[in-house]
Amino acid sequence: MIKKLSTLLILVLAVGCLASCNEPSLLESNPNNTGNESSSIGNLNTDSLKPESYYTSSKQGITIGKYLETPYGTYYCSFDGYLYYSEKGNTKYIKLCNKPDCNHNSMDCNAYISRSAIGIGYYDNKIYYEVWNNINCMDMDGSNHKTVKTLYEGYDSNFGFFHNGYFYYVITKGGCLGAIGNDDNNLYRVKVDDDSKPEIVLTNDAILKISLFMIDEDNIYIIANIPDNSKFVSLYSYSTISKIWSELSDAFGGPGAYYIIDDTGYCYINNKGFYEIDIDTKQMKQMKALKFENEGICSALYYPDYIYLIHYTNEPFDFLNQILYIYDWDYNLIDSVEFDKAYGTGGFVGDVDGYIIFTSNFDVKPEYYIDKSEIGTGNLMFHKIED
Amino acid sequence: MKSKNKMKFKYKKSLSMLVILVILLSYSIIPVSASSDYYESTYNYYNYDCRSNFGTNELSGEMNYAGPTRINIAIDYSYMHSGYLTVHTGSAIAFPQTSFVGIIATINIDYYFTSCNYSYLIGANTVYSVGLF
Repeated sequence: MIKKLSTLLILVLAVGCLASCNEPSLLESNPNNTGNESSSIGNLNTDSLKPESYYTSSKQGITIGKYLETPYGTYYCSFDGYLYYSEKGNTKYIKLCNKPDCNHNSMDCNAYISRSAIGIGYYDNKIYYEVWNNINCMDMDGSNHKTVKTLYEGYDSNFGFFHNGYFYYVITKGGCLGAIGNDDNNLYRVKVDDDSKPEIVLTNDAILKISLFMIDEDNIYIIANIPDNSKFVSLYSYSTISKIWSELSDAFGGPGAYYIIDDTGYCYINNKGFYEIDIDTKQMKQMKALKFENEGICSALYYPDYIYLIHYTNEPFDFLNQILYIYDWDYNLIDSVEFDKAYGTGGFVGDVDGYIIFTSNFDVKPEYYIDKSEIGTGNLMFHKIED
Repeated sequence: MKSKNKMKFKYKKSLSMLVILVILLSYSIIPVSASSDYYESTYNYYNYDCRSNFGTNELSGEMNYAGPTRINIAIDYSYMHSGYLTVHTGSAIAFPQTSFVGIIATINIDYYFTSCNYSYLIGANTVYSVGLF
């Protein structure tokens, strides 16, 4: 009997061992890798065209500049450097490559734009992306990659995003935001589709402490860290017309928890609640108090239909257990659902049309969606995006 | 007696195989997690080695090459601000050098690195890459 059990156990382990050894990589196992599935890419949807500034790459999210809405559909740049495309009104994401006989698993694939790509942007029927200190572009179907501009000489790093035909950036000599060694206090921008050189938009020492920035029409908002204070950040504004710089608040919510539009700033402060600031009067007021028993870390994302509050509950922090709370713009809680499918770094990707998109890991394509028509029905759930 | 010994030998053999398979299986399903890595090989008949270190506040890479071609290191990393959820990605590349090249990125205490991919280049060819977290 023992002998039979041992043999059985050995067989089970051997099968398990072989199965895990032979498991193909996510890319290899991707059934989209047939080489001809992106033939419909590049069709302009003129039904609901919006101003160019709407297609900014600084949309709200957990990642920056990776998820891009365009008039042609939605694009997502995974952390491992591949570009995925989803037709408007669809949740299916495919690698942006229509090269025949491409296995979509190498640097020669049209969908590969580099692991070093900081983000992607849209302007005037082109996709732009930045790698190192070069601005590159491609056609909407992923073909015709070319370098269009070099920002500066040398090997310094930078951080920025595409907005309304420009790439806005700060130079981070130390390698990243908040790095020791950053000494350039300028915010630059460069037009992406002509031969012009980069220009300085703003010079201020707050740039050295910058956490994020955003642009709303003629105003640039700078979110700057306060040393030894992880609860609040400083909020500054700069008018590109009047050139006036002003400090709006030194108790604002930080990255992944704020939004500014039409002279109102919105933010969430951990275990305090939702706040709004009037940009003109600098008055900040609490709109809804909110305190979790398990404080964790929260991210508030402001989208036209809803405000999403994502509460990460694990201590110490990781992405494994997330609860998505959905509020209306009067801060009434409408619904909530748990997302427990993340491994490593994953979660909210974006909100477009009727769907909220999530992924288990930002290295791979979007994998889950919420159908917004299910919000408030008592039947809210994550659906797997099937291939 | 002889048959009993034979049975005992068979059980020992089965148990040994079981132990080996358990070890093999555990290696194949546990993801590699490391904060440092060392690799050496040859390229165009010259030796090279690559040393990668990952820390939440500091990343570094070093490469030695005995050949005459220029070498370089590129790092692609993700990082976060303590207390907030936004995941940033960044990249850095060293000045190409012959013989030895090094790269280091140090982050402020309010931030921390979450992962890094190191690429080691000889000329334009990536000869080794590794991801650490």
